[in-house]
Amino acid sequence: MMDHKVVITGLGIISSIGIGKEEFWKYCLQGTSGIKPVRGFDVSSYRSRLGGQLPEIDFKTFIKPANLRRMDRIGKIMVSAVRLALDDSGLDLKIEDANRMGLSFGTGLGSSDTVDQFFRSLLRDGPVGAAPLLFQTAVPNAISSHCSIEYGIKGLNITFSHKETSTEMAMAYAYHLLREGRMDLVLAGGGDELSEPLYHVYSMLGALSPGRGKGSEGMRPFDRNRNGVVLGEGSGILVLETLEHAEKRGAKIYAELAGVGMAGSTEGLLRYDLDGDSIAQAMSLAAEEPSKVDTISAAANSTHDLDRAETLAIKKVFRKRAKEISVSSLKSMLGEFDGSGAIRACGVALSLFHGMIPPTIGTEQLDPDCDLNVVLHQSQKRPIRSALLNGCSNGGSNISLWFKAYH
Amino acid sequence: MKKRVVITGLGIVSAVGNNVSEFWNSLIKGKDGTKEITVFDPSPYRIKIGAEVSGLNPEDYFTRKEVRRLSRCDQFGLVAFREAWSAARLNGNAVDKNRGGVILGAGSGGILSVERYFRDFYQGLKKPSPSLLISYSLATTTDHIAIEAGLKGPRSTTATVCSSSSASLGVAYEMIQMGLADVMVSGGSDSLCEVSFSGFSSLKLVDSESCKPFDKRRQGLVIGEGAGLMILEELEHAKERNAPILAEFLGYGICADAYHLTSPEPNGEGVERVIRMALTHAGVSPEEVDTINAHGTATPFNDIAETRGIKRVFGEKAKEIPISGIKSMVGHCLGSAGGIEAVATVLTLQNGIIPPTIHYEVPDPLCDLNYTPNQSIRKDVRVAISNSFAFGGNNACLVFKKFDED
Repeated sequence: MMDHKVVITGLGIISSIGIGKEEFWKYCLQGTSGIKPVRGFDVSSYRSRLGGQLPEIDFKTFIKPANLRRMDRIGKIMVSAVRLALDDSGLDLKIEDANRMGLSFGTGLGSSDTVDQFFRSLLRDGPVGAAPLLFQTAVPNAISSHCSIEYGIKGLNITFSHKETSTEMAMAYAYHLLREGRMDLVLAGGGDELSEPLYHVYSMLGALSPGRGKGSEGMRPFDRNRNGVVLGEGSGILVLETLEHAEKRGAKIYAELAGVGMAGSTEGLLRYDLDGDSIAQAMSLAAEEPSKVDTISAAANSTHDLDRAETLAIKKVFRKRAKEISVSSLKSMLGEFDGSGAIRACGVALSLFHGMIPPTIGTEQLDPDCDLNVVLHQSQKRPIRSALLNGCSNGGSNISLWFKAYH
Repeated sequence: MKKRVVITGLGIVSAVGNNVSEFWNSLIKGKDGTKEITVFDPSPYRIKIGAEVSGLNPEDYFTRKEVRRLSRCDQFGLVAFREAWSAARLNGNAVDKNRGGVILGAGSGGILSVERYFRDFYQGLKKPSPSLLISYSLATTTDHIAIEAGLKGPRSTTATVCSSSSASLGVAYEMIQMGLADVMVSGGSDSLCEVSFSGFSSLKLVDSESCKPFDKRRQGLVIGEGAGLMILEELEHAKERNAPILAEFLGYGICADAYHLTSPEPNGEGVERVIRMALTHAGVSPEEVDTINAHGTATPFNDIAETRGIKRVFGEKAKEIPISGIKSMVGHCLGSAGGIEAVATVLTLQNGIIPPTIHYEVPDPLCDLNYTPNQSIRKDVRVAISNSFAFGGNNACLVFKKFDED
């Protein structure tokens, strides 16, 4: 079996700080926050009021109006992200073999808003309230299926849903199939939406900043006063392609996806890794040449445990070199959401392509327990040979992806 | 080099048996697990039946506190996991915990608990316990199993609903191929809940009496529940520790119809594509396939598309291959359907018995294959495939083979 190289040739980003890679990257480097008071539903009964919501999007720009009707909001967001990724990749779908192209998506809670609407209507009206049109879009795999139907992609259609590592897993699986040459090209990634029921659930489970803790509400990864997450939303899609296929069509290459590592911690159902061993194992398995890792896009999400464990893990893997590695958390601008990994992977690809690292914002005083080389407030220019992306979910799945600069 | 992956343990919770031997005996006798639903109040519905799990007392397995915190889906998953894990003789230190992982498929997951929470919350009658919301994520059962077993290898959850647990087995297989694990717990667990029941009812895809796959009178599915888990293991690892080897997992396929959100591609092209993909990946020719565990949901369109797809792959030989539609007995268990059917497929290879499709009385000219009607048959089978399809054209097919050394 021949090992193929896997490269990134297209990026589709729908984020709270920008639609499309140009806008997204510009505001990333400026350190713009996408977090604002929540719009669209009432949060007055919660201790939290912030969210990293998307701007109003005119989905007709991306999707034929006739097809828009069968999609719910998260479906529209993802189909639009795929459109952006395809456009960016310069791919001509008409001449590609649909059986050699696939979709590998991740979403933590998919159509949570649609499920909620369906259930409320059922509660109100009994069985006649069960709306078939809502039900068919309520399943988590409806999103990738919209995309498969919209773009005629037939080779692979899979959806992962595993909390904050949903999209990391989608990319990891796509990487493996491409490496083995079983696909030419996979649209990998995914995302999540910020819905009212989701806000409610996170709040009731005590996960939101400021929670019962002290201090003000906000995302501040690695800060000594961090006190929980602010929820965000958005979608990222990467066109992952075998190098052979990309070269044949003369595609622009952002970076190479060169390794995947996975590990699990067993601290408890809603707990992250605590001692960093599991995160360290995921990073070690992913990066074949740890001495060439120059930056890490951290999973740090402003929770006490994760930011500390990730710090421990980075020190365990890189020891003396740990301080030479520029660490940054895009979640500081976007907020936390299960499917954030794919947008953050787009960020890593752009970092490698441009030699720029976006800052971590909101953090004022580094926690002594998080004494890494965190890129604070201002973006940093430096040559980057390779980068790690960490994804860590509560409950204990940890996935790292290793990206290399492509020359 | 592709690593060889074998199955070393099975675990089951289902409407026709809460362990492997009871389940298998029921299947070969053609026992129907359909009954009136009790996990939620079905009285407002015209159709009130489901293939509900019975005779499983959670307090035999869990402490009181655990019972309160575990969703029904978690409980099924953990019970099936314990059976599979000890059948594979993996208790103790038989596997390096860093080299063991869990990939499950999910459907409704713990929605039953979440429904209970939101019913009380929206009706405002009483304040629900937030602990019911722990089950909000589809990953919950997967995490429970990994935490109980102390497994520190790869972990994830697939979410393509009706094909989830078949997809999860494919993904778990890759964890071994990628060198990330020697042992993987995989398959799926799911429980009945009102959201999926009412949803399928609203789409008019539910039968009022029984699930009758491939029969002309079929009106749709009977929703079921349960868990079907298996232990996948790298062959050398299994041999080294003298593990029981039940069958070999040769390969799989996952693909898209790219056709419609709820209807299958009518000519069976998607079905054909996924079976061909799986056979190619497994290195098996269509001539070698001895039996098919069908998706067979008994919805009018699904069964025709599946029949057409099988004919497209196997041509003239299609009529000779015995096909099993066990949803006629265990119902459509959504997120665990593929796992339960994969377990049945492995048992078919082990025992040389093909379970029947029950309630088969009136042939449909559009479904004209050998569906093993009503009675199980004895046949020496070497290679078996199991099909799973889901809404939106999420197709999966698994290929298993009787184990031999070379």
